[in-house]
Amino acid sequence: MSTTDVPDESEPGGSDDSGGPSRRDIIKGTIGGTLVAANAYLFNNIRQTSAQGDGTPGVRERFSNQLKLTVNGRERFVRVEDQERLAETLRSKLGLTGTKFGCDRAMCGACTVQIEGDPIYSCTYFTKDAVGKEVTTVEGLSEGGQLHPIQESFIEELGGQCAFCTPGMIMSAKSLLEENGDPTREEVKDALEGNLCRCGNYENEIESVLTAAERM
Amino acid sequence: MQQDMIPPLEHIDATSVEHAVRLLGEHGSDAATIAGNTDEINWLKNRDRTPEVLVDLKPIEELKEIEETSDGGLRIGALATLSDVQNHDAVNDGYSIIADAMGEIATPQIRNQGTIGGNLTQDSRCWYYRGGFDCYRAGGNTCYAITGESSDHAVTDYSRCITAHPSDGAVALIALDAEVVVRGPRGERREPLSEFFVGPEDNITVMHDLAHDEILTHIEVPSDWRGTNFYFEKVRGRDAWDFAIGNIAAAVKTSGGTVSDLRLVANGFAPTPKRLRTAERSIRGSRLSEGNIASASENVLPNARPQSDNEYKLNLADGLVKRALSNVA
Ligand SMILES: Cc1cc2nc3c(=O)[nH]c(=O)nc-3n(C[C@H](O)[C@H](O)[C@H](O)COP(=O)(O)OP(=O)(O)OC[C@H]3O[C@@H](n4cnc5c(N)ncnc54)[C@H](O)[C@@H]3O)c2cc1C
Ligand code: SF4
Ligand code: FES
Ligand code: FES
Repeated sequence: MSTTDVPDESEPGGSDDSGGPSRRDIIKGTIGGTLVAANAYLFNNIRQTSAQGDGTPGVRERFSNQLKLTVNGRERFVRVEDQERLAETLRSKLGLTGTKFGCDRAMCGACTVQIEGDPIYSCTYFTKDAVGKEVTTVEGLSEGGQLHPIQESFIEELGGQCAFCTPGMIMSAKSLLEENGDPTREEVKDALEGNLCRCGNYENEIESVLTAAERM
Repeated sequence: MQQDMIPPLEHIDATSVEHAVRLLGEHGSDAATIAGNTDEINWLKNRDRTPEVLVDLKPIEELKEIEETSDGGLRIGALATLSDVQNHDAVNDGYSIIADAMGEIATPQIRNQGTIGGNLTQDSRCWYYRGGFDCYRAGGNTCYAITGESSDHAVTDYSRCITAHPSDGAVALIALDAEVVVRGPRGERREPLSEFFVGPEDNITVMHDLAHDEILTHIEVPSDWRGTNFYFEKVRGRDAWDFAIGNIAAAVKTSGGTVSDLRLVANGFAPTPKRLRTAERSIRGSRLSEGNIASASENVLPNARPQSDNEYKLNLADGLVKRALSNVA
């Protein structure tokens, strides 16, 4: 891996969508809590006039120079550079650090997220292109503090060794199981072929997906 | 930030082909065209290319359509993703070789984003050129692959640059006699896909003949080869992600037990997709017997001049022809 995963000091305090607070939330929360509150107050009353699903900018986007993204079912407003990639936005502006940067060259899969249910590499996807589309990251899987069956099975089957590749693996697995609830081992392999595991933990990853399939 | 930031640029959504052509004309060499941007973005990250403007074709919905034409052929919008092409009914029904090739490209994530047009217009994968070396192709005055590592490179039809053409989609489409439709400031033109690619002898800096302000809009597949016997195989270092070391697409028409016509097209051996005409000639008009196949698959690249570390590709090409002719179905 060319990058290590350290918390980014410049994060403007976005909260992530997972159930419980993580180690990072607590750090970020103290820095950004006030900002979030102020932001919410300022923009709350014009929320209604913001962009609709078709991606046409609404009042809020035009006046604040922000884009409206739909991430894990929530609307997120964020100021984005034209050359910015989705993985950058998710990690450093929306606080969704579950999505990893591995290679940053479409060659490892650590950054895999779903766009409209299909897996893509968010290191290679311009944030701008996500406007009007449903983005799902690994943080969007658990509901009300309850882990998703794929997450559960990755824990039980030791699907994560160092676990750096795990969020990406889980997103590819999710896309597969949404289309094919009863995959063969070969089909699981095909679905995970765009995700590298430096620990070589492939057998456990495949088992995790097969186990999850049985439970879903 | 620890990853490679792309320098600031303006990302403009083209609303129509005309709009894209106009933007490319206005901004000239300051602009770059993108479709799925899976290839182009790496040049931007490496800062080997620093366009000020990206002209994005993605919003042009009409270029994403795949349809069966009235005579049973296919018309594929250049902006259709590789996954869309791979999974489309009209493609799988009669032209399965295209779907087979699509399924072997890169990974699901790249297939969901990369387009078929971009697969045909992608640049050389030579590791020196991609690594920022100032070789012939990059405007310098040497070929580092000839003096260095050339195991993935071309063995035939090259001149100063020995890059091999990387596209898997191209061979399947050429085997079906596909044509490309191109639009530019002077209107529309079309040509056989086999003539779309440009070797280093004609122009060492490009891989295809699109002008800067031309857009590849469609790929058209005539119905001539619909439902005939096909074979596609790709040989690579590992089963995912890797580009082809060599690949082959075969389309074979038989009547009364003899081969009436066939196409054998391979990539990985030359700077442009290679029709294996010697092998085609030797099998056209005869039966697909073990003996005929053996003689057709001998020395299929008669003019090859390999480097010492890619001589193995001669046997590979022979082997691929043998497997293709033995397994067409
Ligand atoms: C990690 C990786 C592995 C890969 N493996 C394979 C493989 O195994 N086999 C294989 O065949 N390919 C492979 N590819 C290449 C892949 O097929 C292309 O990256 C993809 O199809 C390009 O499509 P795109 O829409 O993303 O193109 P972009 O990146 O947007 O564009 C690529 C180039 O084509 C030009 N362009 C694109 N569309 C048009 C158009 N309609 N008109 C005019 N110009 C256009 C752009 O200007 C740019 O120069 C791989 C790519 C990556 C990143
Ligand atoms: S093969 Fe072509 S692209 Fe590669 S180093 Fe030689 S001149 Fe450059
Ligand atoms: S970070 Fe490796 S594929 Fe995106
Ligand atoms: S990279 Fe360590 S578990 Fe996959």
